[in-house]
Amino acid sequence: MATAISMSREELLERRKALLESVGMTYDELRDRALAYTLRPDERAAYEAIRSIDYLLGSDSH
Amino acid sequence: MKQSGVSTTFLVVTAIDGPGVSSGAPDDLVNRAEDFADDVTRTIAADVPFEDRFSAAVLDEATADRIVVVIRDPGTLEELSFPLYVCGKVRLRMFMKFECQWDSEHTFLAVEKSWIFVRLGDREKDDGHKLIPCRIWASVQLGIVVLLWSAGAWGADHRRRRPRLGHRIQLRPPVEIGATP
Repeated sequence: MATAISMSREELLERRKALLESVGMTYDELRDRALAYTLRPDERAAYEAIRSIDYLLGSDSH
Repeated sequence: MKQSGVSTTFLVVTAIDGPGVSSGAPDDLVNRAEDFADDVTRTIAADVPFEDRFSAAVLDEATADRIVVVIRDPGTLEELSFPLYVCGKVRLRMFMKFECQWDSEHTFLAVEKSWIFVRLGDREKDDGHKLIPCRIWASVQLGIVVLLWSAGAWGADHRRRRPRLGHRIQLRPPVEIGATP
């Protein structure tokens, strides 16, 4: 059963940019609100997706 | 974006190079990632009503050594939670995500971090959501035990309807519980 998706670096970076635009925040702003537990569900979804992207790219800081 | 393997019944994603084209990521990593995602799906489905499927994302490069396993929307790739039922009704949403990496010898896939969130509500996006108390035990031998309870989460007006939910979810390989967020 196929359950793996491969994405290029460019696709991931493009998706990361689109996610930040969708919530209207910089990553630092998003992270700070996450640490303060003040994210709305859609913002938390974007935050989680961005962290996944950063992990895949090896640019995660957590 | 490419989807590896032969089944396209669940994950329908736009293919840049066309279906069936081999990934730039190492085949062993992709295969192991698929196995792990399927294993998580089977494990959850064996314990709770579960119609979703975990999938693994991997960087499409030969040097890739990391995967992220989570439930994704087939179209948008948005990371999703899944429902938990109390008395036949969806009362909770659980979000699970695993970040995994090859060991240096590429002999096993280690779970570096994992996240488990539980939210009160029956929809994926509910502005009235509440985080609820959730205690999680992790054990190498026993997998993970998740015990949920709703003390205070339903409010004083609903105390008589307050459900007592204890649920055990086993996960193999054992995972590390990451801090929230």
